[in-house]
Amino acid sequence: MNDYGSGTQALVLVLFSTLVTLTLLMCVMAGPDRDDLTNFYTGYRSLTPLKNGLAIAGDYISAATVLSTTGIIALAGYDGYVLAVSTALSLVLLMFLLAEPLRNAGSFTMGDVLARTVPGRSVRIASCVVTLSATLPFLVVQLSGAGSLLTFILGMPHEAGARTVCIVLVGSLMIVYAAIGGMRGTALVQMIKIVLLLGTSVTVAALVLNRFGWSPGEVLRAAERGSGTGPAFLHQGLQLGTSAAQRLDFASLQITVILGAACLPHITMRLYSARDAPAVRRSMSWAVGTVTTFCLLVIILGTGAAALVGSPSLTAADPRGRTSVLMLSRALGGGPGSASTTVLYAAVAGTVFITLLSSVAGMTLAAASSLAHDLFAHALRRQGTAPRTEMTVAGWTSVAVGTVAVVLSVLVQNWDVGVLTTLAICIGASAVAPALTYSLFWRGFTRTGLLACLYGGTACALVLMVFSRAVSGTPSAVFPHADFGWFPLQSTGLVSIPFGYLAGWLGSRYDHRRRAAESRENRRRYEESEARLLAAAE
Amino acid sequence: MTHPDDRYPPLSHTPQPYQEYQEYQPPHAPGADLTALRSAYRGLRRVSTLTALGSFVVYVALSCGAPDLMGSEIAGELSLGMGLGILQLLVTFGAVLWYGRSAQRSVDPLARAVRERALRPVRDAGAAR
Repeated sequence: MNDYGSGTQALVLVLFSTLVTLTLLMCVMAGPDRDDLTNFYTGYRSLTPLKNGLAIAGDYISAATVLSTTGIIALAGYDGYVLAVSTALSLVLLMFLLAEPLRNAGSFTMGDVLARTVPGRSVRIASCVVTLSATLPFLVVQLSGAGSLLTFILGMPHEAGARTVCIVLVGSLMIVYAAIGGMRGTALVQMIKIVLLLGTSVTVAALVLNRFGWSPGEVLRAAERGSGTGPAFLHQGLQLGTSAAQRLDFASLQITVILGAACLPHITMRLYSARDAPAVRRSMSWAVGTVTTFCLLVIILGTGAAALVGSPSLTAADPRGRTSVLMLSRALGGGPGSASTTVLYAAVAGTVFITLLSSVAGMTLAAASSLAHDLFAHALRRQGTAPRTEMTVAGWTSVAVGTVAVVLSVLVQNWDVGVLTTLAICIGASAVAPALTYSLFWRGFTRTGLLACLYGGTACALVLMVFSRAVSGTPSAVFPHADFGWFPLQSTGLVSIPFGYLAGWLGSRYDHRRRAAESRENRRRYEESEARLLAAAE
Repeated sequence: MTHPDDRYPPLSHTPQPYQEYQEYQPPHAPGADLTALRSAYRGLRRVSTLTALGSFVVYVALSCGAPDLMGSEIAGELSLGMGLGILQLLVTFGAVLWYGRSAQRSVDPLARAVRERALRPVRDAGAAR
């Protein structure tokens, strides 16, 4: 496994420590004052649209996106290309549909947006539960991946002890970033990460194209050869299969990604730190531009990995090809031990490391903010909470969320938990997206509708996921030797998204009939706050 | 499959109750400007969202429903499906610019008017109608 020199490892280690020191320093410098809530949750809304856009893009492109998407493209070709397109378009959809009203309606968390028309503890608790159930799986999948990835990068023996150490190390760093840095600190880390990520991706993509004389046709031909599948590499169906049910499954997964990926709380949270609606629009333009550029680059990287490394070596290192970026960078240099290989590999490894760190920090912060703001400050305490107390609580909830995530990740590190990414996106599409669209655009949305949307969508996605073919019954499932599934697809969106929307609508209809007074009150609140929603007028 | 229109069922119900409401009990928020702003936002949102979502849904449906068509080669090794996918990504840049321009032209002036009116609601409450 470890076929590169100790010089490379030393350089990688030096780079890692430099990155950690630098970003930690920035976090401490940019961290908020002890009793300023606005600063902690939004960083005073002082970032320019460009910077905020880069931070949104940084939060959006998680380590899972970088590593799994490249892996899927390298192993499944066409299916991966479609995934790259849906990933980019999801953020476009967020910009067109939700970004501006969301910015005007919310102040710190998703609970603020939803409780605007339907106030009350039950709504706050529900939005906190959904935030946690969408962020924690994502967090666990990235942390447990961090273990195997770091042992791979550092060339350590691939055993449980080393991985646990890596997970705990990354986990502690992420807690520090989230608790000390707040939104502003993590925004800085995200910006550094996205700039590094774009820089190394452009370099590696240019090297790939250069290797094939800048001819896309040559790259594709080599990828067809390297994947061992021939022309099938450029046809739909390698990822999930080509039967009618499997094609439907594929379509369902893509629709889920486009509806759900950008709705996740750690991304929408960044929108609240824009100054006003035009600023959020400009931020999102930068974010979408960055993410789309990156998705184009990922297509080149994944195809290059298939062409230059080849599918047998990729699957030998990781069955889902998640190490393909690293293996590609090693294959591109002048050969094992040469200076160019060392530098390129170290740069890519450093980028992957900082991507991993920043994305887990962003998610921890989103979960901790929701716990502190929705659950503690608005649901548990009836009287107002002092900003100072809420800040302290937010710091401690970061520690709590981080610790829980680290423990869970250590426990599941021997399983293939990639399915948790799908679960998080399914919850985003079936609970968060319906709740936000209804709450922002439908004045008839009521408490029962909202709760049905949030709990119903989440429960539907969770239950179907547990009994899906991604968890049991197939060789690539989490439990390949058990078979307790009855839901015949890999992702749940096909059923759970309509279910979430339907639950919200039926719940509201129920309130209109049975609790007319309360639903009129909700409507009045919507109309009262409409000037604020559309024009930020107080 | 989520049809794009599924995101809007409630909107089709909204106009009538609101208009009734407005006739009987004028809201103290600035009325005409807000209505104009609402419909400007709604138009922009519908066109942009349905275009983005619609084109992608058609793309995925074609990928799954007509794999032979999408697999046909258009230039060298490049298949139609791959070409369309990359084209969508490239068009995204233009779409975002277009959205920014349109919003600046249609939405921002109205939003500014609503904000200004909200600052002096008493005097304009009568003038608005």
